[in-house]
Order: sequence, then C-alpha cells, then structure tokens
Amino acid sequence: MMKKLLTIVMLVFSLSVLAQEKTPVTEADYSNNSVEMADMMRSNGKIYVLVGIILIIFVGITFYLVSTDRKISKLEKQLPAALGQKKP
Amino acid sequence: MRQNWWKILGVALLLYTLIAGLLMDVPRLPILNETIRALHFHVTMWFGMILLLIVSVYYSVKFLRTNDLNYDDLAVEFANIAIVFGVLGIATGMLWAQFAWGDYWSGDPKQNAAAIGILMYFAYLILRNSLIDNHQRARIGAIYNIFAFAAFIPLIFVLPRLTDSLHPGNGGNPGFNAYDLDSKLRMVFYPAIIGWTLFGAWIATLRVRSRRINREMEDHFLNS
Repeated sequence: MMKKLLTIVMLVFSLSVLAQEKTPVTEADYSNNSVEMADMMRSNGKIYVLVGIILIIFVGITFYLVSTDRKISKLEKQLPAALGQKKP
Repeated sequence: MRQNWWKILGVALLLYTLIAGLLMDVPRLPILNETIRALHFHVTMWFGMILLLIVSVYYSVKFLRTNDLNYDDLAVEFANIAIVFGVLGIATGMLWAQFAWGDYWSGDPKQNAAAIGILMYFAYLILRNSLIDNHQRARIGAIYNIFAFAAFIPLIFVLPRLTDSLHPGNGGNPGFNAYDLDSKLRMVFYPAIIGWTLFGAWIATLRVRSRRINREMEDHFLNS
C-alpha cells in the first residue's frame, strides 16, 4: 500500500517537471483589449446559446452511456450463477 | 449506485469544463485569441491518454504475473480508449495548428513524435488481432504494450524538448508560452484532465464488462 501511494505521489510530482522555461501570463493579458476575442458573442449573448448546444450534446451522450451501463449490468445478472463471479 | 461515484464525478467535472472552459475569462494573447480555450480540450486529450495508458500498462504487468485473462481485458480496453483519445488529440491539434501555426501539419517534432506513437499503438492492435490463441495473444500483447509505453513517453515528452518545436515549453519558443502556467486557466485545466480521464475509464470498463460476458458465454456453450 505504501509503495503504491509513493508511486502515485512521485507521478504527480513528475508532472510539475513539465513546466519549464516559460514566460508567465500576467494580469495585463486579461485586460489587453488590442487582441480580438469573441466579445461580440458575449455582448449579444450568443455564446450562451453555443454553450447550451454543446451541453445538450454532452448530456445526451452521457445518458446513452448510462443506458449502455445498465444494459451490461442486466446481462451480467443473467449469466449463469456459477460464472460471472469476482473479477479484478 | 454502489461503485459509480467516480462516473458521476467524471461527468460533473466535464460539465464544469465545458461551461467554465468556454465562458471563463482567458488571457487575451495575440495569434491564439479564443483558441487558447483548446487547452481544456486538446491538451487534456493527451494527458488523459497518458493516464489511461499507465492504467493499461499496470494491468499488462498484472496479467504477466498472474496469467489471468481478466487483467488482459482491462489492459486492452484501457489501451483502446487511450488510442481514441490520441487520435482525437492529433485531429484537434491539426485543426488548432492550422489557425495558430498556419498549417495543419508543419512537421513539428512533437506532431511527428505523436504520430509515430499513435502508429505504434495501431501496431499493438494489429499484433493482437493477428494472434488466435487467447493466452498467447494476451501474453505477447502485454509485453508489446509495456515496450510501446516505454518508447512513447520519451517520444512525446523528452525528444521534442531537445530541439526547437512550435509546442509551448519546447526549445526557444517564447511567443505563446506558459499559458498553462496561468492560475486561472489551471482552475479548469486540471479538473478537465481528471474529468476526461474518468470519462475514458468509464467507457473502457463498459467494454471490459461486455468482453467478459462474451467470453463467459463462449466458455459456457463450449463446455455444455
């Protein structure tokens, strides 16, 4: 158990090694109005429509996955009792 | 609902990723503009892929130690979903590159290395499917999987960093560096990695379970 924990901790630390030699993003970058962004979509509210559309698709896919999950659970229960015991 | 909490967590994190990732304030950087938000979608595909591959290799090792085919199911299905993430990562990366770097494929070291890595994993699937015996397939597949992972990590994390690359954090490329160091972006980026990984793991376990049902049915009918 300790070994596993240690491995996970080491892995997490190794991720931070990825962040080297970079110029930081500053507050000024957030208020820099000379760079064009989708501000129009925000002001007329259309971006929220887009987010809504994407959310509907994602929720739809999720429900489909849930129903697949249920179907498989049902199949597992129908298997002959002697089979389908403990799995890793 | 017994052991399903992590699936709910994954979906919740992804809902958060979609909403916050698309709506939260992001740094206004030249060239990148709004595409900086792809950080939560493109980059997380690769992180998710690596995490899922680690799980796959873990089960490959477990299989080699126990010879239990149930571990092989886990190894191959986690590799499968990781490959799906990898392909999506390449595709989203190409689209992003067209607008940030001016070309779908500019032969960037990391692009090339990622493509080689994906091909290695395609070879894994072909190798497995070319073997008929279940145990032989699992054994050779597990060994290949371990070697493929050991080659994949230096390919995408180490080698591109040794030369100049368009990818941030590689070589001398200060233009749009470091956006992944920004604390506001990180508030979505890290949950997004966990969310995509859990979502991938969910899909993998569904396929593992259907694989096992399949095998048990086969065994049952063969023996009866």
